[in-house]
Amino acid sequence: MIVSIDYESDTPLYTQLYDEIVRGIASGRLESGENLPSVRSLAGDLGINLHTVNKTYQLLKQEGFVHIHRQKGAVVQPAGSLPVTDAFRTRMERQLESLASEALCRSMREEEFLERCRSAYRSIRPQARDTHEGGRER
Amino acid sequence: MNMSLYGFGLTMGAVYVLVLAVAAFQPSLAPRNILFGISIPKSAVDDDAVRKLRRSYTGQVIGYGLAFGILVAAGILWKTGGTMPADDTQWLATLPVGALLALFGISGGLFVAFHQKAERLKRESGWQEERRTAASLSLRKERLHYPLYAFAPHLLVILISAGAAWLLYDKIPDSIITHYNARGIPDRIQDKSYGTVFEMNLVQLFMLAIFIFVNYTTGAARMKIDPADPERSEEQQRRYRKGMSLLMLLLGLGMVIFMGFLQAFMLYGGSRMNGVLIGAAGIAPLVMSAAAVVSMMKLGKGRMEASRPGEDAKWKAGAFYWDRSDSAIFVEKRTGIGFTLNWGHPVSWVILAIILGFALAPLYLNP
Repeated sequence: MIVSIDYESDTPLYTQLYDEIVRGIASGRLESGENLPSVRSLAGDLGINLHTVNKTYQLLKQEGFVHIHRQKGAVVQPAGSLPVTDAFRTRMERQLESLASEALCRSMREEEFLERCRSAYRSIRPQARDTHEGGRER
Repeated sequence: MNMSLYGFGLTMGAVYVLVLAVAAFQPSLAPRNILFGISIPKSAVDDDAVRKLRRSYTGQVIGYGLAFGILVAAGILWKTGGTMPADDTQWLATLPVGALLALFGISGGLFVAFHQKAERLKRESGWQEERRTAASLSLRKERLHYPLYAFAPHLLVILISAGAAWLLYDKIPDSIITHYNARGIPDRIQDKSYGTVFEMNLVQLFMLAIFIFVNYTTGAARMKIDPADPERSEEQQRRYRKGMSLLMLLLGLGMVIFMGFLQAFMLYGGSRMNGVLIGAAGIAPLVMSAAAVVSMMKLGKGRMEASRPGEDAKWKAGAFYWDRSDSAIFVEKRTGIGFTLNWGHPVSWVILAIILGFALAPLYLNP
């Protein structure tokens, strides 16, 4: 599993890395029980500061995506095991509102906005469409 | 020209030519998208301007290097009149070292000059640097270098060498020839003691430690992945690191065995130690290093570096990596094959101090 980050992006590096790892877990490329590289080696491989990777790992742990094991380090938790919390709903609404506002300002139609949301959701794990989403559509 | 000066000149000349060849063909030892320490786009690696710069560097190193070498050889012939001087040959022994240092100076100076030319070429061509960087979360779980126990045969050779010396201790003559001068005549004879008998085994252990350390760095060095082509990049890392590790394993074994033989001849060879044998002893490490260079060239052929945004500025003079915010200690070389240290990391200086300490300790302990 490859993670890639953009040095010149406005998004902070630790957020980019967080998003990449969460995407890996959601897509199944990072399996449950798999352990992430040590903070030191990942920071070295990406050429970024130790504290940046540490911040990402702490955030992942806080959100329940990984479990910090004494010997094995950061271990990935099963993708379906996390509940949808109010905190997540709040954050999601905030981000969706920003996107919706900009879409409105640019006169993007509601259908296109929703279609893009749906295809983004499905693109993460293509097989998810076949299992539960596909049936509902028909 | 008498035979001993001829042999001396041939050995020194071979070392000089080997170093000269490595310096001249530096551009082909570096990753293909690195031009004298400057990263260039993958689409530009075969551009005429790039090829011209590489060819011009090789030509100049060979030209200046050969001219200087011939000058030194002519100087020696003129000074000695073609025969090996009988008395004090100190200057003759230190001259090759001086010539090699001068050669490093010549090729280093040319490298810096071409580094600046490459920098200018990149600016004028408007070549942009990569914005993204990538890393693999799974590659480090694979075994990319040989584990510590792969060095067990090396330790066995050392134990056999030391064990033989221990068992045959009574048969070893009371004085041991520990050094031959350039003419093949013993010029340092030491009394038999545990120190002189087992000295070579300590050297073996030191060499083994160095090879184990280098093998460790092939696994520990940072792994950059090209975000544009991660699969190819991962495959290159696998091939390169496994190959380097195997090379360290074999070269280490060769060196340890060679030193074991050297010890055996020194201790049990007696008067049978003749010129041919001494010559062979001098040539063996040379042959091994040449073989190592050739295998490294094959191993590193066609590889590309996954350059990071702004990385050029962190390679001082194109050859020394300095980045305080990079937590990696070992990094892949830009100028050649193998790994180097991030000098912006304090631990690198500790490592340098330890290696220098070990290398220089005998000078102080054994004046």
